[in-house]
Amino acid sequence: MSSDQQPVDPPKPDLEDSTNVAQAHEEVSCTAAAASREQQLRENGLEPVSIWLMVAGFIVAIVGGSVLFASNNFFSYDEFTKQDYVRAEYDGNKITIPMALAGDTYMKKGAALYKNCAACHGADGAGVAGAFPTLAGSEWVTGSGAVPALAIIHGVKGKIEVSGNTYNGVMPAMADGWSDFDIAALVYYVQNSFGNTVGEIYSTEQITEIRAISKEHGKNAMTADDLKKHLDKKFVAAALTPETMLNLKTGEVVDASE
Amino acid sequence: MASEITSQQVEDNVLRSQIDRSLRHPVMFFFTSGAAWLAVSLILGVIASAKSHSPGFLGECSFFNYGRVFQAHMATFIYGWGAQAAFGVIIWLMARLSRQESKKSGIILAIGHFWNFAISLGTLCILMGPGFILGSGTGKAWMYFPDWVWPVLLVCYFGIGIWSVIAFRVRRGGHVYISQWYLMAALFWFPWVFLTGNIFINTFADAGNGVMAAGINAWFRSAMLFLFFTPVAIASAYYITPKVTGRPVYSYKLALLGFWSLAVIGPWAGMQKVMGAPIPSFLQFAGAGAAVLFIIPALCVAVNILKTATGKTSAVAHSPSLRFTMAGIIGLIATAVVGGLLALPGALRYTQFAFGGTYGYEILALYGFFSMSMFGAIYFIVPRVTNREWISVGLIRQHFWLSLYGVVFIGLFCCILGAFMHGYALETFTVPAESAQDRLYAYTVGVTTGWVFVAVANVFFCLHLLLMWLRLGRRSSHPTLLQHHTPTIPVA
Repeated sequence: MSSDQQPVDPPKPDLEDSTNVAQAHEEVSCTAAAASREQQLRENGLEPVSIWLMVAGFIVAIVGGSVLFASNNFFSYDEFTKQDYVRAEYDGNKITIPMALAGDTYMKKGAALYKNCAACHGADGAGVAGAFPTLAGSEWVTGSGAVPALAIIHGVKGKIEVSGNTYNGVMPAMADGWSDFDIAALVYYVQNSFGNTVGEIYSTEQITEIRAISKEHGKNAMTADDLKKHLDKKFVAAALTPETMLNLKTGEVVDASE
Repeated sequence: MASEITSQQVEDNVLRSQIDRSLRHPVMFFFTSGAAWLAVSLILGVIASAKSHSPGFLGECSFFNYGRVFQAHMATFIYGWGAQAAFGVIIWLMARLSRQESKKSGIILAIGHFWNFAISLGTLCILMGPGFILGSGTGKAWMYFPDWVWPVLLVCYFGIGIWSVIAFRVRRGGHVYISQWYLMAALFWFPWVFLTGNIFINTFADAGNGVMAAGINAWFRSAMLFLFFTPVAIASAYYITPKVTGRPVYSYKLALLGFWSLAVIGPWAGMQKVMGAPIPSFLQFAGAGAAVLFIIPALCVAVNILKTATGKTSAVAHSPSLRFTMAGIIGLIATAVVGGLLALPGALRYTQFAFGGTYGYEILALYGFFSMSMFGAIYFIVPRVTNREWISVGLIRQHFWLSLYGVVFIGLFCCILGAFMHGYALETFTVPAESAQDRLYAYTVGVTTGWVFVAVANVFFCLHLLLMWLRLGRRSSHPTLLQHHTPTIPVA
């Protein structure tokens, strides 16, 4: 293999360009061709560090230093996190709970929910003669809040006499998946619109009591007789006072002192 | 140019070949098994990446859950491929530069088998998941193996590394070459980082301080990168470049500056990854500052190496070793600059929790810089220790181009750019979170595609290396070069 070896090509980089190892030393080239064509590592060059590299290094050092000293207080263990690195909070760092007086909150929420009722009872609560009872001035509505609440939760079937007129229609259960806040708001809306002025602001605790009655009743729609039992229902829990502030979105009581 | 060789040169050649022969088995074992783990890791990486955008890929099989496959992917990449490639380079380079044959290659080879056995079991544990008798993946980044594995690995490391330290102590000739500084540093930094990281994280995690454990984990990853993988790759570059070009290293002073700035800056970086976490803030700010300052040692090394190779374009074109090494040095600059950018407070806000913000950087550093340098070293070392030449130019060429395009596509484009896009979408509170996922989708598909190419390249690289290991390489005294060229000396 070695006797007919080609002359060494200078451009071949891994090749020792000055010597033909094969001819010079048969044994070495047979056992270690790769090792014997290696170039020697030479002494290190002594070029000075260029000015441009120093400038680049200083720029990096300035950037690095400014990042390092971006912290106001390295060793303050009280102030662990720095404001800039906390995720930005929505709406410019100000979390404002949208809130309003309890009555206003209920009216607003109730008006939105009444859209479900307006198709039958009418936008003005007048109802449809013979089928859908009027809500304006109805003794069922202006009595205890339990009655409208139960009607909303269960629906009503069969004959019912309202303000001297007899109606015979079917009202489906409306409140599937509604929160206590929704029910309280709608009851408040119905009791304080269309000329009704009851004014009682139901708390969610009171709605819980109504839910207990509802559970006892089962799944069926209510009849006029069922509803009549609760016309003078008195709540154990207290109603909300008019000056209570409520969260507009959730209906939770907001502690004004916070 | 002398036309005859001196007896000194013959002596050198004989010594070199003796050193090479003494280390043939452990070096080839580390390289070959490392390449095999790399191929496995990349296939797992393809699966993990595919799972990230198509969760139904490979069905419901729990073996291939994203959480398990991703852990196995990174664990095999770091300890299967990265560490073993580094070991192979360290023991060979240290023996060569100290001009000492290895007399303990049998012990190193045996311990290398233990290392591989531990990693195999650890990977099995990760893939089998919770309830497996030997434990399961820990979920701690870069420490994915069950807790019993790391002491085994550390003991194995001492058994492998100690002989290189001894070779350095009994070196012939007084001159200590630049690569030897870096190798010695890596040999001492690895056990420090590995032991400290594992002990502290487990201690803090057991004490219920998960935040501090996460911070130390971020430091551990950074320190493994800056204090082990980086010096080994730099040592290889400082060896390969002058060796192949036949030139002295450009500047000794620059090399000194690069080494000491790495030693001073490297250990501080890492904790910027947990910026904003409730740990003392100087840890995070020191980390951010050091990550930026890492550009200085990287620049020193890169300028020094590139200046050494300046004008030797044909050598870069011809020699696979030099070409991979040059690509690795470009990767070092990219790693340093991207690492500095990611450490800037304004960028951290977007990338800290985004997909790819960490992964992309790690891939860039581990593959674009470290692995490319290791490939360069492997293409140089293997023909010497096996006494055979690489079989196929085509295989080397495809390995280079697929790797280069793959890592640029994955590391820079998909992961880093993807991280900014994802992070920006996550920060936008006014749109549903779903839109962030929509924005990310194209990039995750891109990562899968890129990994497929890199995986193909490395499966063939592994086969190529296996053939070399079986001594099926070309018997020739001519190296395998990447470009065919017409001889300048006419053949008689």
